[in-house]
Amino acid sequence: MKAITTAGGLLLEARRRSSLTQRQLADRAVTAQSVVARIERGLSTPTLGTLARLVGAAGYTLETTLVPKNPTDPVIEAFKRDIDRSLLRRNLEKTPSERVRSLQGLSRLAAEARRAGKAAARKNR
Amino acid sequence: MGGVAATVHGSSRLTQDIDICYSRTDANLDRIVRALRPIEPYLRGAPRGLPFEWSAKTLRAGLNFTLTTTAGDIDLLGEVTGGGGYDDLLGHTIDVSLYRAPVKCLDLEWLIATKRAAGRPRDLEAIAELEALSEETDEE
Repeated sequence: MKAITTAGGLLLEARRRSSLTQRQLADRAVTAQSVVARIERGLSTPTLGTLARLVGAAGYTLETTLVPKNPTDPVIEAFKRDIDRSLLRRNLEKTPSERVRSLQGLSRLAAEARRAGKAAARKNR
Repeated sequence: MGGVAATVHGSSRLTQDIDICYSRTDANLDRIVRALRPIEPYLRGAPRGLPFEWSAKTLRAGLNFTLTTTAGDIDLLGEVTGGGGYDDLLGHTIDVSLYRAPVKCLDLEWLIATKRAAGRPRDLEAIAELEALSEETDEE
């Protein structure tokens, strides 16, 4: 199931799973139906304690957990171990324009290397 | 965006094309058509002889175009996975001067995020280098 990221979404899901109407949930939680409605529609943001009490009234316990924004990818981490950071630090000493000029020079070298490779292959046929 | 943006941020990797996210206003489409017409844009990978009209009408009818030109390969992106369109990305750019022209370059955080969102295996090594760059600049 896709993660629910809003308080209103969580409350709605808890209420649906317990097959309660908004009024029934509100009565169990000793609050007004309008409170439940506003939270579910995203018009009001409850505190974590209030949300826990409301989902509790629907028969659920609220648990929260921290999830990294950029989860670690073992392949990316493996590639990182092989990176020449001294080269990166040298690049970071240059201005953006200087970095792009270096790229141009490398591109010309690559083009020349490809041309030379093709010429050698033709000669060796 | 792409490899040139990575170079701006300090990448040592070679790139063979330019990736540009473009604004899709009518005025900008006309400007793009005028600016690139002299270098004869054509669809990359398409069989030669396939009719391709370089015009604002063509740009309006599509979104992302992988082009080959007499000056090299250019990817024109109307929308980027994980980033959105030009207006969505504008607030996540830095201003750089390239060949004495002002250019908006995607910032490092969003360059990493859009590459991650694209989810292409070939980008994993590039993402690793960009994250290493981010760590190096965080340490400064």
